[in-house]
Amino acid sequence: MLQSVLLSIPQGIILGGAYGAIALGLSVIFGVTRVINFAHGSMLMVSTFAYYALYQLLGIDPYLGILIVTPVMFIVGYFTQKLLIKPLLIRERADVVEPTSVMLMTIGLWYTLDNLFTMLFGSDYRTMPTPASQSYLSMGNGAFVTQWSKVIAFLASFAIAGLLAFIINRTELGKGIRAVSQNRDAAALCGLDVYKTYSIAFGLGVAAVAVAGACLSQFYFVQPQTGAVFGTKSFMIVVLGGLGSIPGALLGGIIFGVVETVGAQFMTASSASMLSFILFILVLVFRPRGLLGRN
Amino acid sequence: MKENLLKGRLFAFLDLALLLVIPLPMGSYEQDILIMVLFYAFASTAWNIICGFVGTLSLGHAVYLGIGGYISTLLLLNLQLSPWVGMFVGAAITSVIGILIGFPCFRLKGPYFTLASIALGNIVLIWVQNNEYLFGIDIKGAMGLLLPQTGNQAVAFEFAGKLPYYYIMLVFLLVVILVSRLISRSRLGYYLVAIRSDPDAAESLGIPLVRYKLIAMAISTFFISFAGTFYAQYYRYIGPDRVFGNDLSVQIALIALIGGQGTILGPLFGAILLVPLSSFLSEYFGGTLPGLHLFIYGVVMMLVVFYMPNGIHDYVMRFFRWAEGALWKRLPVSKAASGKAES
Amino acid sequence: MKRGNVFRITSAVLISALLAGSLSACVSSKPAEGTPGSAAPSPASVDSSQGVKVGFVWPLTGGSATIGQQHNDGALMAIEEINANGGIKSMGGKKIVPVTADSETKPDVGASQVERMITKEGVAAVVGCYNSSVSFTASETAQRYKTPFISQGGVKNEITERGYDWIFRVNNKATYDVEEMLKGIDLISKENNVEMKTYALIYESTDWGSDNAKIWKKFADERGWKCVLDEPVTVGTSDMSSQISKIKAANPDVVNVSFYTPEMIVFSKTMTANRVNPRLGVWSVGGGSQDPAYFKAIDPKAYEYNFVQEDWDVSGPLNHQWIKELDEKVRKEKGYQLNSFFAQGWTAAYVAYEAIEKAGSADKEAIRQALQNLDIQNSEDCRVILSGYPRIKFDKDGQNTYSTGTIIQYQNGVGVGLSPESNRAPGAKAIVPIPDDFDTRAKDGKK
Repeated sequence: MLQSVLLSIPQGIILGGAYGAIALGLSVIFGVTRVINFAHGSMLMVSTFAYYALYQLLGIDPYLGILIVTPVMFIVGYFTQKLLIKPLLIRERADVVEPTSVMLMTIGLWYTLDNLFTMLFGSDYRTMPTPASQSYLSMGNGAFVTQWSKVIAFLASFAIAGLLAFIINRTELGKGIRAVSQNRDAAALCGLDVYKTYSIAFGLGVAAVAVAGACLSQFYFVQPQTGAVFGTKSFMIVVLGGLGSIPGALLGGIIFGVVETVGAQFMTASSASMLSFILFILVLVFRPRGLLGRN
Repeated sequence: MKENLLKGRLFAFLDLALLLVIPLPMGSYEQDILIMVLFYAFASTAWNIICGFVGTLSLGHAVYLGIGGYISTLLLLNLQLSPWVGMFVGAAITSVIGILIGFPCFRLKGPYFTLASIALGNIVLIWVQNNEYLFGIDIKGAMGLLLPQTGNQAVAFEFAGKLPYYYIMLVFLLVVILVSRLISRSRLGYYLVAIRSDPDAAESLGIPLVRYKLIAMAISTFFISFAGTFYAQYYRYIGPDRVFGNDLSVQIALIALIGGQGTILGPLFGAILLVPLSSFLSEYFGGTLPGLHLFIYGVVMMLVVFYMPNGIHDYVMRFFRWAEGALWKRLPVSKAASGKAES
Repeated sequence: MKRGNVFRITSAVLISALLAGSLSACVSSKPAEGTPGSAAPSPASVDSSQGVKVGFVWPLTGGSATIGQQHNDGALMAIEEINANGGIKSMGGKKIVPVTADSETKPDVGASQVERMITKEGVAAVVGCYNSSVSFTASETAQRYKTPFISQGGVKNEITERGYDWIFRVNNKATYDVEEMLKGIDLISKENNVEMKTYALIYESTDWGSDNAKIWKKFADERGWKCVLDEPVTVGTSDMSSQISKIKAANPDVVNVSFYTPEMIVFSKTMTANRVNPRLGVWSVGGGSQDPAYFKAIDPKAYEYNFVQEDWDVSGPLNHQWIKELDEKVRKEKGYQLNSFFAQGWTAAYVAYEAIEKAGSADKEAIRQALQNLDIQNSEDCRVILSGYPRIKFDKDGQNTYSTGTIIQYQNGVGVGLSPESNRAPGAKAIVPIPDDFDTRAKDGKK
């Protein structure tokens, strides 16, 4: 028993890394724009379809496909913010009321995208028989087995996090992002185009989730309804880790992954999935700024 | 004088009359749609009491509907208690649960509260799916509760035709709209609007935020649990996947939001627009384009947020005010139309 | 005019148009003649120009969408064939007109659709709904309107145990499924001298999965077998490493699994990767293990040696020429091979036709009586029973008591019928205890 519990920890960490990869983009978006993007899962789903299309039509392996899909998704994210969200933010500045309309817009977008893809592609579960999705990493003579695609997702999460951190902390562009997320009005006074910065941040966030999508499409399925589950989880991870904190998103993801897999050793898997939600609520109530979050 | 009584309320009376007679000439499938319109209008109006007036966005409200339905059904199955009585027992218990959940959650700001409501919904869904016994009572977990046929007995809240269900739901709806109106004109409503507009200012004026939010929550969950009982009695089956599911929660919220958050009649307008629309779409396109009606929900949502942030309520009201004004200029000739005018 | 106003007005016009359209769709229909209490036939079903309408309600969206689609494909193809062969001969060659609706896997939507079919479309009978929870409410609606309901796919016992005389179930009850599996296990364990003592249950936490597990436990305990793991899994789980490690640790003789396609794929892949080999195999009934999409998505290694209780006779294409031809047709036109779900949709549609043919009219009471007295024996050229049941005859509860399936084991990527013995091809034998040959199994297996 102890052995299986101990072995489930690395399983959880790897799974958690994959979760973190997906949640990173949301962390950036929220950290900078303070927008809760309910369509995050939908963006993930759209990117998996893009990889699937590239694979089926041109035979391009999803990991290579990242080079094509990521810039495209960056543009999608950029214009989503610019065309759909910016007008609402401008309108909301005039109100003192809490800006719920942006949240509602993203809910509408979530429903629209998920169901558009259901209408166009049906509810079939599609997989890609790529080398990564078919091969397994086996250690300790079969004691620990996992799919290579999951391991790659875990490694990718660090890569994405590193890249995002680099962009935000070491580049001129990143300086603007940091300034806007610290104090919007002061940044505007310094001459920064706040909304342009928002759009870039949004684009970065969606591009990040597109990279995660390449990994996800190989250990899970390409199907219009898959986005919703991961979208909800990403929120919880981002809150746990601390909004706007990149290492926080990774840490949050890993914690969720470990809670789910280790929890499943002590109770039924189904009840274990309840644990993540309970954990989330506890965090919200007792430490709303999360583990590594700033204000 | 009659004219003064009617003035500003002509369409209110006309539409009440319309609602009273509209199901009579219809076939039973259409009656089913009408009942669903009233059902969603009722649930969304109840949702609106806490979410519209106060401005918090709960996307997990179906939980309370489900709990109410389960309680009255369990009482019926195990104690042969009439659902009419069970309904009130369920409502009472549900509103207590609502308060208990609201208490820690109301401290959370905007989007956090929404996320918490989604998480709570999922917790209840998964818990019920996995457990067959609660305090020793058999709740059948994921398999749901089947209501036995007792014949056409009013006492058992079971009727052969659709009309009794329609009128019962209509009464429910009128009651909740009335309550909604009373709240909006009372001190409670005044405070709730203050809380919504500027919580900090309200707090600094000495308004106990949490207390009033809890009162609104209690009222909202009390009423929405009636919808749960109705659902169980109408379909004669209640299962966790549907009543504790995310879809139902979002549907209730969307109808109120599109109709007009924070207004009294908004949810009713939203239901009148969306429910027949979605049946119409499923009927003609359900086989060929699955998911079309949900897609339309999403698109309408985005359009409304963009161009009609207060929902369609304002436009509908404006139309009726104009129509009434135009009619009073000539002699009042009653023409049936949908919607209600309230001021 | 400001641009904002133009958009405002346009949206307002669009929304009012939609509203007007949907309201008029409601209002323009004819009211039904009779109240739900009477059995008055709706005008459309005796409309001579169109033919006799039969309603089909399947989950075309939601969790069981692909399965619902396959049922529909089977039903529609059967109706095509029936009409091509002269339609309803006792009614002068009138055609059957199928009307399909999507239940969205939701009980309330399913019930509404049945209501619509009966009152607006005027169907003479309703067939459906695959998901048990939807079948409850849908059949109840049919019962209220005194319309024959041919239940296909739902396995909950209660569907035919409520004393409703308008409901007839062609497929098996959940208890039959389980009984057959346990009988199969008994048979194979005795024949091959491998003792059966313990079992593990892993299933999705929905009504189907939970119900199956509950019944398994009941019957297995009666045989003195011990349950070493009871593991419900939430739908949407992408990782089952914990569950599989628990199974490995519990070391059961048999693992019984109830998952739909997505979870079945994850389960099989993880079991194979972790080299978990219960002595008497992995047993499943329905769900993902009968869906061609499952087989397409994984390596044959992953389902090799698995036992599946198929609701249809997999040796059908091998033993019957017409089934072989049909299989080729389905592969060509639909892109998947003939499978249990297609077969069940086909059979249900044919049963509806047989009843109408026997009744000689679209009168619902006549159809009901025809169903009650229906007795179809399977034979070489019987095209009704694609599913391989020996016979279709409904008992007093409306249950077809001859709805047995076949237990197959995948050997070299091909399903081999093993139980009951009557469905066993000569020389076929179970491979137990399951060999530990993960590297070489199904090497030359075809999909």
